[in-house]
Order: sequence, then C-alpha cells, then structure tokens
Amino acid sequence: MKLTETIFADLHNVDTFCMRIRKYYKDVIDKRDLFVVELLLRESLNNAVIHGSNQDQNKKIQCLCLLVNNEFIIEVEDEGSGFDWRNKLNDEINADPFELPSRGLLILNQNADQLKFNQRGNKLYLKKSLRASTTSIINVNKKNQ
Amino acid sequence: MINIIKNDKKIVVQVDGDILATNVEIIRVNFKNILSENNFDEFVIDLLKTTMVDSVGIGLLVATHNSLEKIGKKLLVRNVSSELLILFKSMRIEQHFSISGMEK
Repeated sequence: MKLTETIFADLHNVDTFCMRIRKYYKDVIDKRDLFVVELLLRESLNNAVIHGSNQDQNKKIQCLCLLVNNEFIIEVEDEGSGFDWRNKLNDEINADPFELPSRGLLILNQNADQLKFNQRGNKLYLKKSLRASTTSIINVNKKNQ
Repeated sequence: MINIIKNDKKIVVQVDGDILATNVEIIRVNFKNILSENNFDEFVIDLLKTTMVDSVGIGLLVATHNSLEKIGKKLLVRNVSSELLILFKSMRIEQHFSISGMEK
C-alpha cells in the first residue's frame, strides 16, 4: 500500500496529510503501530516545513509512505539547503530529552528502526517494522478455519 | 478547543483534540489566561480526547510545568493513552510531573 503526496510547506497541510494516513491505514495496521507511524510522519514533515522550508508556502515537500512486508517506509524531501544532521542528532541523543528546546529528531531516532539522511540533509528515509498487521492476522485466521 | 472545570484549589482543563504544531499557540494562550486569572494549587490537563501530541505539543507541556513550578504549583496530566504514555516516558516527562493513564 503506497501513498505519495507533494504538499506546500504549511503545517496545516501536514495535519491534512497525517489524517489521510490515519484513515488510509487504520484497517491494516495495528493501532499502536499506526500511532508511531503517524508520529514519525508528523515529525518528519514538521521538520521539513519549519526548518527545511522556513514555512515558505511556495516551497514544496515530497512525501512517500509505503507499507510492504510488515515494514512501513517514509521518505520526505524538502527544497531547503539541508542541515548538519549528524551533529544535531548527536547533541539530542546525549542531552536530557526533558531539557531539549526541540525534540523532533530525537523522537524520529527513538521510534524508527532505521533513519537515514542524504548527504545534504534535505531528504529523510525512515523504516519502521510493524507488528503483524490486521490483514495478516485475518489471513492466518482464515487458513486455520 | 478546551473545557475548564474548577474544583476547590484544582483546575481541570480538558483538551478537546490533539496538541500539535498547528494549534499549540492557541492552547498556550488559553493556558496562560487560566494561570493568570485563577487561584489554585493543582493544574490538571485531561487528555481523554487527545490521540496525538507532537514534539511541539510536548514542548507546551514542559513549558507549562516550568511556569507552574516557578510559582510553586503542580501540573498533573491525566487520562493519557497508552501510546502517549510510552512517548512521554521516552522524553522523561514522568520524572518531572505526574502523568497517568486512562481512568476506568
């Protein structure tokens, strides 16, 4: 199951797209996993809108969501100049999360099984392994009947 | 967006929906007004109707706690979903103020 979207850099568009994801995958992804998927997507898109695009509503953000073999993949790319994600991530991992001024990158790192940026730092790739999806559970139950 | 219940020295604020980057400023202004206009000992945020709190929303909870601590008041966050409890604990929130799950 795949969803792609290009949005303009406005936080309201993040809300709209995340609500769409919540509805699109609600019957095939466990509720607890869907929360984490939405959280990862929100933080990725918020970063792209706020930091990558300076909330310039003329700038575009491309997003891909893909559910395959019980893994959820998110790719988010903005038009910004990128950032030094290695140092930023290192700083956040070594700090007390309660004291941090922002927590988005730390949340991504804690909740994704794989997190990668391109060299420039304007494209993010996340992978999250899911529990057995509802679809798989239904299929197993049918086989056992 | 929010509903306020006053009970002796306790103020309960029920948030009607998610706490996100898009609405956090509205909620922040509401909280600020409630803090300045009322005499209380405990400020309770009820998240019964809240599914998602993003990193900006977590920032609001932390800032609210910090403001209350400065004036010797307590913050309690209650009716937190199991998913949000895990997220809040990963941010070590429970080490600073009280958070509790759904009341049965």
